[in-house]
Amino acid sequence: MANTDYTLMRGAQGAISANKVLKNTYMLLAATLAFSAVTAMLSMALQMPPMVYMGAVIVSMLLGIFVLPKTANSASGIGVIFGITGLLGFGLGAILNVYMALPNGPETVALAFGGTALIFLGLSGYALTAKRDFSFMGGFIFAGMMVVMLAVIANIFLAMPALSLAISSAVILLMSGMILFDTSRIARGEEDNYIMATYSIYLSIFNIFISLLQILGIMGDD
Amino acid sequence: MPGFLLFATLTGDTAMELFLKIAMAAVLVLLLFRLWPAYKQWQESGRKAEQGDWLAALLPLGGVVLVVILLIVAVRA
Repeated sequence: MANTDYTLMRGAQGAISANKVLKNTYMLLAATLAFSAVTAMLSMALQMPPMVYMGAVIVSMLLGIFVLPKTANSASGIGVIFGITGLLGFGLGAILNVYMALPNGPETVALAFGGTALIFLGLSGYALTAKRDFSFMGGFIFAGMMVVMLAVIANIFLAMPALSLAISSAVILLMSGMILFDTSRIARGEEDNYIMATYSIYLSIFNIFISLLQILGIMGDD
Repeated sequence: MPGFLLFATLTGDTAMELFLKIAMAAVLVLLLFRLWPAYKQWQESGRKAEQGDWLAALLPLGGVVLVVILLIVAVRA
């Protein structure tokens, strides 16, 4: 009986801990998304050139690779993640200016924004309510990401619209899978660092938005 | 992450554009090297799919495809 009680208590504590990480992750995600929106609006108001986007992405990727993993277990990790998301938002503003100048630009941006929100909320809700373990997707997702990255490196220099379209489509599917994967890991207590969890989900949302912009821009003849 | 890099051809200044493209490609290659150990670890010791797992994953992904198609229809309307 005592062993059963101990097992039940450990299970309950694990669930409480997982719920705490989930709550902190979503709160930090909301804050970083809002901060990104503010820096994007600032970038749009300053009419930053598209080149700023590439520079912002390069710096934020380097911060994400080298700095964030080292600071994720301390309070400075919060500052780093706000720095990364603020940079990405600032770079995004430069791209949004390009789209807003097109004939159907505002509609395209609004549809991409709405679509991203719908996809993220739908997938997160599904992952949390289905209570399934989606960690089996890990190998497939990482393999897919590496293949897509190789395609992106090639397309940086080839600049083929058809390849861009294929990459965007693949990115949307991979990042959707990543949202399922990350959300189920957090809910099951397999991810206990809410800063790294937020970073991963933020990148999934950002990549889905950028890819939707690309697809809708091409398909809308913009 | 890949999606970032889809606007790599939007800049106008040639020398700066080439420099940024090379820098971005270099950072991506770095990211590939960082992803490789994670891929190997998940491939070797990650949980294998059981019956019903893939269907449970493909259902919402199919929903995503549907949403994207609807958005494309909306933008072309």
